[in-house]
Amino acid sequence: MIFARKGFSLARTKKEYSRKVNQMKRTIALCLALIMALGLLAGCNQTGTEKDPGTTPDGTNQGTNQGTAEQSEKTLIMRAESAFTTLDPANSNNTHDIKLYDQIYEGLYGMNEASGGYYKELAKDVQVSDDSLVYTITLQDGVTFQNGETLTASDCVFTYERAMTFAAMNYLTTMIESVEAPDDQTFVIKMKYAYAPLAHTLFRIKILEEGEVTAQGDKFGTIPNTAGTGAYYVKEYDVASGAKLTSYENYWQGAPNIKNVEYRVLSDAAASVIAYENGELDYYEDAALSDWDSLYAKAGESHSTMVKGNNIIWMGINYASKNKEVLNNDLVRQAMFYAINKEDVNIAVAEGYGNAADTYMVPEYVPTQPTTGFETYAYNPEKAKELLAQAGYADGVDVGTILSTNSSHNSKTAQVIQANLEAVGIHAEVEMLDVSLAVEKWNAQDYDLCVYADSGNYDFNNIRQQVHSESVGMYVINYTVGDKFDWKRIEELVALGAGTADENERLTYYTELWSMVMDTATILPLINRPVAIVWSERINIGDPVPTYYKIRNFTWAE
Amino acid sequence: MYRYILKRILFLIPTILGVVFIIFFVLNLTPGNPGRSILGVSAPQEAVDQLNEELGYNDPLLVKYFNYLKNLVLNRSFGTSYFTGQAVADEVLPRFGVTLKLSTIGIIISTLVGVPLGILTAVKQYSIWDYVPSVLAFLLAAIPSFVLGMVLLFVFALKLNILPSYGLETWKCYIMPSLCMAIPITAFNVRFTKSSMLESIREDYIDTARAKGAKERTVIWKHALKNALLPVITNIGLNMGGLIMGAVVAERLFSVPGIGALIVDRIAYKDEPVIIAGTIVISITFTIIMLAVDIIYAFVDPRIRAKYTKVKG
Amino acid sequence: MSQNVTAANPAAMERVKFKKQSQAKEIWRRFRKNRGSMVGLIMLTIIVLALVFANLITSYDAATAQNLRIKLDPPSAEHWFGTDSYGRDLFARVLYGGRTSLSIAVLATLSSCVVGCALGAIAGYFGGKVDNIIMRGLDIFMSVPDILFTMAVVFALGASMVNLLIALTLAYFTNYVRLVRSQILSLSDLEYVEAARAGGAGSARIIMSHIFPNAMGVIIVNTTLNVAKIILYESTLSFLGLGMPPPQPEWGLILSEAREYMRSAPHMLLFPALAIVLTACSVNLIGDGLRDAMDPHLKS
Repeated sequence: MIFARKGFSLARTKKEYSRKVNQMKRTIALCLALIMALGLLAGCNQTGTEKDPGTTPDGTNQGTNQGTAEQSEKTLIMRAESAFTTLDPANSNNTHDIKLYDQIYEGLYGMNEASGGYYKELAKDVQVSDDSLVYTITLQDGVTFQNGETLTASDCVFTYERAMTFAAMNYLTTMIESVEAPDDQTFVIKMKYAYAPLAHTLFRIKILEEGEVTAQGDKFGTIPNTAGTGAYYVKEYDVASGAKLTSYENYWQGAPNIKNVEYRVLSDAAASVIAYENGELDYYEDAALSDWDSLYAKAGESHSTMVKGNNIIWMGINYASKNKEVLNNDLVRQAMFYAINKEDVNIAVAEGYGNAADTYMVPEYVPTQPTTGFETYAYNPEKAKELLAQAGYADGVDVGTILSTNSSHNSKTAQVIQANLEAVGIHAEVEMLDVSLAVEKWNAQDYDLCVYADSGNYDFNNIRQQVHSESVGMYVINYTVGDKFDWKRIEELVALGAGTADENERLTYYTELWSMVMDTATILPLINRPVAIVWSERINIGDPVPTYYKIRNFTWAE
Repeated sequence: MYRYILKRILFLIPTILGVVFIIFFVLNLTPGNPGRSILGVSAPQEAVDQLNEELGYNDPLLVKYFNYLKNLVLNRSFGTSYFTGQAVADEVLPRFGVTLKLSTIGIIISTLVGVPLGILTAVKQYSIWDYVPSVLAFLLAAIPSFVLGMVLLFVFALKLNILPSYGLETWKCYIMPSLCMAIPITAFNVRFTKSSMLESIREDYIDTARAKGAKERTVIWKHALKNALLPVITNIGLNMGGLIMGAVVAERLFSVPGIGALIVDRIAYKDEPVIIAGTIVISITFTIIMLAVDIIYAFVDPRIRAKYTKVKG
Repeated sequence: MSQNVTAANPAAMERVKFKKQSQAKEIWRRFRKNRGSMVGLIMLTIIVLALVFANLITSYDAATAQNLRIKLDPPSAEHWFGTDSYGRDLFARVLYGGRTSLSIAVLATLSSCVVGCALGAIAGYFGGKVDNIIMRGLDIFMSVPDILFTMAVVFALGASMVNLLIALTLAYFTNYVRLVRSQILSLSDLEYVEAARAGGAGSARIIMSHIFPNAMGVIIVNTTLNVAKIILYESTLSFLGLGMPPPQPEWGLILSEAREYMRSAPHMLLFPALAIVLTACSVNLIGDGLRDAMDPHLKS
């Protein structure tokens, strides 16, 4: 058909014709072969993962009771739920990137979720000036980086000054005025203002070796490095398939028991469950609770646990929504909160393994979270209907859209909320958006209702992000609109709480603060999800923690 | 002839220009931005805006378009990813190779199994050789691919424990993803070949051949088959193209680092360089495949040959 | 069998109409004799009737009312298909979901068919530069993965029925273009078409009354195959998070919700999957039957 319109000579005799056909067949075969060869070549150019011997369990069981020589051959298989975006700890706020960083880098403080909160890691001693504006930190002795260099205060200065230029670290460093190193063992931080919860910053900023980071320049974070002080360093790194870690034998707290670690990217949860049951995954944390039964059946009591998670899902109401002015009505908002059955959310999202939550953060992890003295809006659909009738909406009301991200937990929560509201006559639609889009709408207060999840909080001061009008980062509810609420007092309480280190004093301020927030009927904590962890019989993991595990505490089972 | 092939290959250039433009255009229409996705929810808006500015994301559409092409031609580089900051070529090419491998295996399986089966069901119509494969083909074509994948995982990885459930270390790893992709195509091939074959058998000239006393076997193989294969060949080409993107489901399920999953994942981050590079590579491959298909088609279709010699005469 | 019909001959047109009517009867007769096609037709009729009269069987409320106490219950007398992950009656959800899914599939197929056939006809019939532009444009368009378009449409416009239709049409119209075009190219040189042209018939009439009826067989087979494909593509879109927004029931959505419970509560996956398979199969059976019935070469 195509040839008919272009001119080219075609054979007239049968012999010539079949010769040409054969010629053509050869060309086509060549083309196809070329394509396949291209593909195979491109595929084979993958370095690393395909060629490594002895570290690939394709379903076969690894040897068990061998001596340390054998053990140094064994590799721990960990799961990465998505690609690690970068190896530069100053460039990512992604929780699962941070889990990796925790194995290879260290901060002045460490985090111990099992015993609660922060502890001193690279910092041996911390002195705070009386006005809380100067922190003088003495470093640990004998700490070396994975490349052999000794840890000195100038590395700290380099790291902090570098971090202060990264947008991703802004919320951690904005309160720091300057840093300096009067001598090799002393590191001084000068604050712009008193800030009690500095520990989180000291934990998140991981100390890097100045020489290597400078030498790698722009490439730092895209290729393996030995610029950390942690028990492992990255030997191979491929964005698509994961990372391989090797133990740092001169780690200052002692060489770890497990010498080889491999993170494999396993994005699909169901496939991860199968990988675990198949013996292809050694440690599986934050497993989907819908798979708990089969995971528990395989792992048994001894190799599984459900740890209290440090997360809260909560629901927000934009009382100042321009779309739905009915949301300005206090009675309507209260009615909405009374209509929510938190147990329903628990069953839908956490298969009933979680618990209803009344607080903004999890008290077991946040000692400064107040636990009594505020309104909780316990489930009471009758009262909800009463309040609605009082407000003049006995026949029901339309309250707009529930904005949620695509994540499975949040979207399920949104659907349960919608059904609960419908049951008392309040009508709402569900809208699910990608995180980046949702964030923009929240920041602009362009929503009616929302579902929000927060996690990893260790100090109640983090509520500043949500309630303070000058907070850097997002706040979902803007309390200053129309002076409807006493936002000045709220912000005052935030500052008071951050300004003192006395726990009792802080609790008093925060109780008043949280009680005021709950009275506004704009934030309703819903549930707290547990974190399911299972691990293989090849290892012991010490005390299980929900998020920031440390592989250096794992050991091979004998 | 070779002039023709050269022309088609040269057509790759406007193809690439067109593809890059379409993607920039389409992505321009969609909301969201890489800055927010990279910095996370707690970053201030100014930092997000600044990052977007640095990445070049805020430039107007045409500027981005020409800069990208300039980079491609002058520096032979696909640029750097907004999301990971790494060279796009390093991310895209190996992953494309993986998908290509899987797709090739998938096409080979589906052609070698599907087409002969289709011929069989047509030739032996209304017999058991027809009913069994046809019914199977019906059912398998109607199962959603992720269900199929999960069943494969469940049976072969978990219960029988003979295949690994993820990754690409050994040759065994390729089996399930390829099967997952190949099975629906195979089912389609069976049905399509059957219908094409049946149509061909019913053509008048087949009756003529029979009337002339040719053996049934010659009738089927020499005459009917050649004509039945024409649309089938076109379809194989189209399937190949579809497979490359259709691999997304299999890649997600079996955690295979392929190009489909890469593109789909990066759309949410609006990682334009990666998406465009991936699509360019796919479209080049697709063009080459369609070219091969057209060439085969022209040579195997006797009507076109005949028409041409008539005109020439 | 060829009819050289011109507008100047109304009597001949009458004969043609009569001929077409008996043609239709003939096709129906042959269709009825094919067992597979009848099975397909009966199945599809039952399914469509059930969907249309769904509110006589069970109420829409049952499809959306949550009761988390009975989450993921297996089938029972009260809930024929059991309950889903929010405790909603699965039977009601599958029933009402079918309405949405099937109407989307049919509409999307029709619109992609119309768009694709029109383009293919234009390309095939006019040939030359027009053909070239259309086919090269199509090649470029097909190089862009359709997932990209779908995601872009959904991201930009939000997930809704209309937007899903647009996305699906964009993804599937290309199927028809090449097909119709090659049919036309093969057929347009046949003698009766040349004769028609000699008789003075205009291009559009030639396409409509001569070429299309013969190309119909191929188009129909493809269309029925596509309905099934589109139903499955919808479920894949839901798998990727791009389908209809909840809580409106839709087969793809139910499947994607069921995915994480595939091992603990397979019934939630089984019933919508079965619905999809049965519907797709019956549509395909009908398509095959039609093709056989319309084939002029088939010996009665």
